[in-house]
Parts: sequence; C-alpha cells; structure tokens
Amino acid sequence: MPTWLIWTLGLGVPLAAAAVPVVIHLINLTRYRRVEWAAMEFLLNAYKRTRKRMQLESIIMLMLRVLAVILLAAALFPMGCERIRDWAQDSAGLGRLNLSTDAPLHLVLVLDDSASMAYANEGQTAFERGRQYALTLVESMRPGRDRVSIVRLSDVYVPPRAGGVAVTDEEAQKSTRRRVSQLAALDLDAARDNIAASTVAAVDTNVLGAMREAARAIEGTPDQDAVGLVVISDFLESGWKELRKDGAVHKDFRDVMTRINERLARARTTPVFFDAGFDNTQNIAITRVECLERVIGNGMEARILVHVQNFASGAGGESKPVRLKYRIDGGSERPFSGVLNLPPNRVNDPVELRLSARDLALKPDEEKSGASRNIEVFTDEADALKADNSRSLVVHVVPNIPILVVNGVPHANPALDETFYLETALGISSGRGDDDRGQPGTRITPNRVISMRPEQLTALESFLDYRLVILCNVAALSEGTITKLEEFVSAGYGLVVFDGDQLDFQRWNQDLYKKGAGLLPVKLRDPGGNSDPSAQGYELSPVAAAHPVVRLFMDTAEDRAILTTPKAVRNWRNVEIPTGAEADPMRPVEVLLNLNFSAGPVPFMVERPFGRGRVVYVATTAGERWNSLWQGEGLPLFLYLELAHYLTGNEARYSNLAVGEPWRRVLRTADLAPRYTVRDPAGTQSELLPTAEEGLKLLEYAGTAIPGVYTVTALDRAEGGDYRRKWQERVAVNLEARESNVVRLAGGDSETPKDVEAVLKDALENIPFTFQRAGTELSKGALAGGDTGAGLWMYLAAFGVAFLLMETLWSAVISKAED
Amino acid sequence: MAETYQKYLDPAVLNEIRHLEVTARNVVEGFISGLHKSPYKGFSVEFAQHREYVPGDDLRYLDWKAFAKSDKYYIKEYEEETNFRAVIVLDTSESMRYKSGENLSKLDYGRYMAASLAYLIQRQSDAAGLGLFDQKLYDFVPPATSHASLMRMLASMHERKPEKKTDIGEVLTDVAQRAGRRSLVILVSDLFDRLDNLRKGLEHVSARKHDVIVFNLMDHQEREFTFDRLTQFLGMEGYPDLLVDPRALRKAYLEEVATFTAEARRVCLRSRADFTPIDTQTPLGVVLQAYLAKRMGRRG
Repeated sequence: MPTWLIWTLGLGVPLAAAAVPVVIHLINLTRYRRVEWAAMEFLLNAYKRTRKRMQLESIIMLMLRVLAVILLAAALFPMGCERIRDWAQDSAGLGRLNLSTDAPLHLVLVLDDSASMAYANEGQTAFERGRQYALTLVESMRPGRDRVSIVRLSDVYVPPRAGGVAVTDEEAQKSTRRRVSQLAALDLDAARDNIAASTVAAVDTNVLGAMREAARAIEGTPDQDAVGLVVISDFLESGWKELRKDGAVHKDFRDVMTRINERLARARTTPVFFDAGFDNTQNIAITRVECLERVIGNGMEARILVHVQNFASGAGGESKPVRLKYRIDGGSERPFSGVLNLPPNRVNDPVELRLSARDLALKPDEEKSGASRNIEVFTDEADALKADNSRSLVVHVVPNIPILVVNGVPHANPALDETFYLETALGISSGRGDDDRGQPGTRITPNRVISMRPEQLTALESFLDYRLVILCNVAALSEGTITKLEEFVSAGYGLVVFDGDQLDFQRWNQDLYKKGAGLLPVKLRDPGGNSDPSAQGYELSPVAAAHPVVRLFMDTAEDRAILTTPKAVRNWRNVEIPTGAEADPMRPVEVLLNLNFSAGPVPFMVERPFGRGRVVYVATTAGERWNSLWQGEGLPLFLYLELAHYLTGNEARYSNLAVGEPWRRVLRTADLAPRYTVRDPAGTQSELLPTAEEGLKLLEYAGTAIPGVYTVTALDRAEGGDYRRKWQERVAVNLEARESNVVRLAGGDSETPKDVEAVLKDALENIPFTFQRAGTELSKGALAGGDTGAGLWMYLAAFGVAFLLMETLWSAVISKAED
Repeated sequence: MAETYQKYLDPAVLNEIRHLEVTARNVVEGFISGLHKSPYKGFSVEFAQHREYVPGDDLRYLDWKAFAKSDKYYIKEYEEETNFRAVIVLDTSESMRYKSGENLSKLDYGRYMAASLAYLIQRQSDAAGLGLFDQKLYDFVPPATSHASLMRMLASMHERKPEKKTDIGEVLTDVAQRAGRRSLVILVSDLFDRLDNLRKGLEHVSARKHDVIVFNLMDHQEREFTFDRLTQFLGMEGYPDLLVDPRALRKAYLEEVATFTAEARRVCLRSRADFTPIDTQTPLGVVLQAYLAKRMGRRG
C-alpha cells in the first residue's frame, strides 16, 4: 500500500472521526437562534460572571465528545480500527525511520526464519505474520529511492557447539562460506520478491550473529542517507534468553546495539522490534536421539535413547499424552513406547528404543563395506510445530573392526599367555555366543581380534587392514615394521603398547621414542616394583577424568571404585615424560592414569598423538606377569575395551547433526577418492571438494540447511572414464533442539513477571527502541467473537455508549436542577 | 377607531373586577373613595355635557337657557369632582416591546392593565389619568372621571411606539409635579433602568405625598430563561448582542433576576411604594383581582 494512503488512512481517518464533534460544534455555532432580548443587563452580568467557567466546560465537553466518538467508532469497527491502528503504528515505526524525509532510506530488515517461526496457530505461522509485516514495510517505502537489506538468520553462520552465539574471528571468517547470499541494498521489487519467497529455514536462532550482520549493513550506509532497523522475531526464550540482562552474551548484544544505535541516532531513527510470536504455546518435541553404541557391528543390538519433551507457556501449560513410533529406512512404522504423559517444561527420562541384530543386519552385498541405516523416530500426532515431531538418526553398521594383537610371550597355558585375557576381552563378541540352533549370538562389540607373534610382523605389507594394533610385551621391532607402524598411525589409526619383562627398553627408546619424535609417547627407564606374585600391589588413580577412556569410571563412586580399588599392579615401568627439546607442543603427552606408588605417583597410562592417529602406552603387562588385574572385578575388561573403542572410535558412522551444523570427515588414505558428491533431502546433488586443515584432508559440507538425510558419496574412477561408488555415507540432519522450546521470552520473578518488551527494555538499557506486537487483527477469531480481543472491544463499546448516555443525562439534569 | 379603543377594554377582564372596590392605600385628603357614590354628585362645578330630558330626570338640572333657545328640554350634566385621583404611568420604552412565544408583549400587557385600571377607577366615579414614558413623559392625560378622558388615554396608548431607553427617575419626578394634588401613582414598567434612578424618582413622588404602586412587568421567559439551544441575544435599548449557550448561563441569569427583584422590592418599600412583580403569562384579571384584594385588606 502506498505511503500516502497509509498516512491518509492511518492518521486521516482517526482525525476525521475525532473531528466530527468539533465540526458539529462549529456547525452548531453557525446555526443559532436570534432573539431580541430586553433583559440584557441581567444576561451580560451573568455572562461576565460565568464566562471562564463556560469556556472551560465547553472545551471539556467537546473533548469528551471527541473521545466518545473515537471509542464508539473503535467499538463498532474493531477490525477497521485495528487495521488503522496498525497502519498508524507502522507509520509511526516508519516515521522513526525518517520516511518523511527526502533522504534515501536504507532499511535493514532482520528476519528471524529460525525453525521455531514455523509454530502455527489457527492456520498461520509466526513466520507468516512476520513476513506480512515485512512486506507492509516495504510497500510503504518509496520505489526508486529507498532500498532494503535483508539479514535472515539462515544466512548467518552457526558455530558448532556454541549454540550460534559466540562468534570468534575465526568463525566469522568461516561464516563467509556459510552465508547463502548477501541480500544487501536490494531495490524494493527485489526485496519484496525475496521476502515473499522466504520460508522458514529450520536454522536455530542466532540473534547476536544476525545483529552483527545488521550492524555491518547499517554502518555501511552512506552518511547522507537515512537508515532504519527492523527486527522481526518470535522472541522465544530459546533464542533470546542469553541476550537478556542476566544472559551470557548480554554485553555483546548491548555492544552491537550501541553501535547500531549510534548510526540510527544520526538518522534520528530507533530500532523497531516486531513480535510475531504467539502466547499460550505448546509443543511436543523429540529433542534428541542418541545411540549408546559407539560403533555398531553387524549382528549387534543397538540401544537408542529418545528424548521427548513438552514445551509450554501461558495457558498451553498442561500435560500431554503422546506415543512414539519408529521406522528404519522408510519401512513400516512400529510403536515402541506406551502412552507417555508428559508434564510441561520438564526434562523427562529418555525412552529406550532397542533395535535387534536383525533390524540392523547387513545384507549380503553390504557385508564387506557395511551400510548405513536411517532410524526415524516420530510422535503419533503432529502438533503446532511439526518440524520436531520426528527426528532421524543414521547409524553405520560395520561388518567388524579388525584389531591386531601382537603377543610377545605366547604360552600354552592361558594364564601365562601374554594376550589370552586381552583377546578374550576385546573379542568377547566375536561369535562365541552362538546359540544352540547355530544362529549367531548377539554381539556386544564389533571387534574382530587377530593375534600374531612379533616375528610374523615382518611378513605384513601394511597394517592398514587393521583399525587398531596392540603390542604386548614385544621385545623389539624391526626397522621395517616400525616404519609401517608409523605409516599406520599417521594415517589416523591407533596403537597401544603394553610393557613387560621382555621389552628391551633401551632399544625401544632408540627405535620408537627417538628423543620424543617417535611413536612411543614416553622415554622408558628401569622397571619398578616387585616381580614376586605375592608381593604388594598398588592401585590406579585417574588423572584425566574427562578423557573418554577414564570417564566411564567417573560417574558414580561404585564406578570409580572399579578403577581405584584393586591393588593389583606389582611391577611397572618407570617412564620419563618428554620435556625440553623432546617435548612437542603439537604432540602433547597426556597422562590418563597414575599408579599410586608409596614414593609418589607413577604414570601408568599415557597418550600421545602421532600424525592423525594416537598411541597409548601402558606401563604394565597385558597379561598377569606384572599384575593381577584380571583376577579382580573386571577392571581390565572395561578399561581395555573402552581403550579399544576410543582408538577405533572414528569408525563410528552414525550422525545426528543439527540444522546448520557442518558435516566433517577426516579422510584417511583409504577414503581418498577423485570425486565426492552430496545429495540433500530435496534430491539436489552437488560436488564436494576436499579441504586441508593442519595437514589433514577434510571433507566438509556446511549446507545442512534443511532437516533430513544427506548422502555423501566418494566416487572412484572406473574404466572408460566413468565413476563408480567407492564408499557412501548418510548423514541425518535434524532441527536444532533449542528451537523446540517455544516458551516465550520473559524475565523478572514470579511476583513481578516481565513480558518481552520489558525484558528488551532491561537488556537495551538506555537505547531507545520501538516495540510492536502482531495483534489480533490477524486473528479471524476476533470477528467470530472467539478471540480475547472481542471482549476488549465489547468493553470499549459499552464504555462509549455509557459515556454518551451519561453526558446527555448530565446535561438534562443540569437544566432541571434550577427548577 | 372605536373598535381599536374597545380592544383594550376586555369585557372578561372588566367583569372580573367589576365588583371590586378600588381603595387607596392611604387616606387621600379625608375622603374615602370606593364603596359609595360621591356626595357631591350633581353639584359638580365643571360642566360636562347636555342630554335630552327624559321623564324622571331631576328638574333641577334642566337647562332653561337651552330650552329658551331651542324649545327643547336639556339636562345639564356636570363633571363630578372627587378626592381620589390616580395616575397610571406606563413604560413604553423599547424593552417593553419584548414578548416570548404567544404571550402578549410587556407593552400590550401594560396597556391592558392601564385601561382596565382606568375604567375601573372611572366607573367608581374617581379620576384616572395616564402618562406614557420612556426617557421622558409623553401624552400626559390629567386625572379625570369623564368617558372622554378614558378615550383619550386609550388613544394615547395606542399611538405610542416603543423606541427609546428608559429613564424612570426623570419621569417619576415629572409625574409627581404634573399629578397636582395627592394622587395614587400606578407605575407599570419592567423597571429596566438603574435602580438608583427608580429610587430617586420614587423619592420625588413620595415627597409630593403621592401614593405609589409599582407593577414590575416581566415576560415569562425573562423570569424563567428556558432557552435550550445556542442563541444570539440582540440587545435592546442600546445593549450589545451576545451569542451564548443559554443552558450554561441560566443559573447565573436567574440569580441576577432574583437579585434585581429583591433590590427593586427593597427600594420600593423604602419609599413606601407597593411592589408587585407580574408575569405577563398570568391572566390579567387574576393579577388585578389579587392586587385589589390585597389593597382592600390594607384599607383600614
């Protein structure tokens, strides 16, 4: 709608209505009776006495009549008046943007197209309300003169793990890759088309990032031009809470708004915040789906935890029953939960979905390379925010994980064999659980253990057929073997070294420590302790409690006791942590566990990266020559199994990314291919180019803009110039869980709660701003009397009529009072 | 012409007051007028007219000289002299022209009052005179008992046009002098003049031993002021115009009227004048009847 028409309707109509009593008054002044009057002296005296009072009463009565007419008009024509009010508000907002000046206007529009904006009420989403407002703004601008910059949240880089809030310089640099397009300084037609074509982008709310983008656009406006800022959002706690005065990034928000305000103040404008959100919201959301297995091998069960929550605010805060279902790769739906009665705004215990070995079993043609499975979990009933009623998890089922165990002291007696217990622990699932009918038993780990003696290693061309190599009490390694091991670890794989009495530590220091440059993380020294089996043992103590291998034992006191109680280590190797020239800051040494020796702690388990891989040194034997760990409560079973999982963890191929979160994969030598493609859920296929970071080849894809399953394919050259699939990986992308939280932004305490506008006022402190709410004018229920706004208008109507009656009666009473 | 005069002699009015007595408030020179015919009737010293003799007439009044000249019998009739003289002083200023609705104007109402009073007084063989005034006294008709005098008074009232302002003080001074012997001065006016003037005039009249009755004529609208919409009041007698919402002014206006009436009454009482406010909507007969009854009650 043209500006002049908005001004005309927005101000002209109310003024005209308000002027009606004034006009009537003026007309009445011209329509008076003329009477010859004899008792003029009495009249003049009375007039002189009452003139001031009469004039005051006349003005008051006139004003009251004007007010009554406005109220009556507002009551009788609520929709029209609301439209006029909105136009007036729009005009007021645009007025602050200096629309009335001749200077070209640069309007910077921050459009929240985050996933929560898809929340629908009575058939209309918050995003549609915001988009309509944005279009109204653009319509009111002057073509050929004004221009619009659009900052959509989907155009803003969302740093992983930071919730889209903390943007470092480095991340900002990366964000240039992420921005879909620069929608700066569009002419009005282009802006209108762009806004009209905008949809909810399913990203999470990154207001601070968007405001920084807006600040850049505003500061880039020429000084002679007027500039304005309009922020359209649903103002949910999930996206705005951290910006509150008590929020984590309030200072950053305040700073960027101060920058913006300095430029707006020169143009004599203020920021406009348009609230397109709804009150009284409720949303049942699947917020997270996680797999408890690090790597799923063929024939293993998988335990999936499904987190579901009931977000509600206002009158929507009530319990909601829900059922959960799942399907695999688009197959048939299967329920897996009873009726869950979810209380509002409470974190519930996750619901476990146990997938059987048959559910995930590889097909014959998949048994070599493995395959991925898309597990889709969903509620049985859609609600106001449909995007989080389902969530996908892609798991990669591997045939197995080959682990090479090199036995330095083989023995016929299992108790004296160096690796018997270790192999048993690592391969606990390697087919030993077959049932009576010959069916394979349920596997617990995906590991497949291959045992060799040290002298067999020289015959190996490469270790690349394995995912993990474990050297147990090996006296020494040939130079060729060491070179192959170094290539193996550098390629990204793991190596574990168990010490022992057979180990020639000086040679190891020379060949594998190499003054800190070799595979061995630490310099070995003389062994310590007592080799007598009856001698006193010492217990372990955690050092790196957060390390994945140790963390397993840190949850409870009982778990911790498993690690720290057994006094089982009789002998150990004293080691020397590299320092000075032998230390390499790019290859830090991390002590995971210590041995509590009476003279002081002794490093027991030490980790150090080498190339893309990692090496873990254990200062005792894998068998029972130096310890009696295997006779206790099963500590080595858990510890070494966890260590193997950790070092083969990059075999895990399940993914559960959030929208906007980039997918990354370190390319090992075996993964390299001449061509990579990605296909998004909409079926659009695009090429992926590998990048390099810190010497590692990476495949990265940041276009995860819509939820669904993405497929990354590595293509190898085939004969005839064609390509054939080398490997394929599927990636599940889901709505950012924060977006499911539809609780409205609020502040204060229970006694003095603050609404969105008050919270913004607190946060912005002295920065002036205009706050506008999407009102009931968009609610068709208002006309049907089903909207709460109808009550207000009824009240206004009653008030207006009552006032007119009172005014009339009052006049009548005054006339009669002198009788 | 006769019809014009007769219109002021409303038979209904006269019928109402026919049986009432006109009494003076104070004793006028030892005579009581009203109930009896004058004892001097037939002995009047002032010849009035001749009429033909009819059987039964007193032969003492037969005009023998006229008989000698015309060979016809004529009876000489004489103007009766009386001790009661009344001068009706009627305000004919511009303000008396005001009338509201279907009511009589104050002037017309005053004319009816004056005519009725004059007729009543003469019917009782007392002398009635008339003076019309605005800023000064016009057409003064000395008190007389003759029918011709009444006709002159009526004609004078009919011809007078209300045009000018009021100056009661000067006029009453003039009346006091012209009335001659002690008389009853009946002032019929809206009194729209400064009350100081009224006071001075009444003082002059009282100084001449005249008795005074003041009929304060006001239109019903002037007393109640019931206008209900915006009105431009066009000032009479040189006052400016005023455009005003009368509803907002009514209270103050009525206070002004009440104050004026109370002050006028006080001025009259101080000069021993009788003060009677009259609403022109009130039937004339009722007003005169009430007044004369009041006068009769105070006769002793």
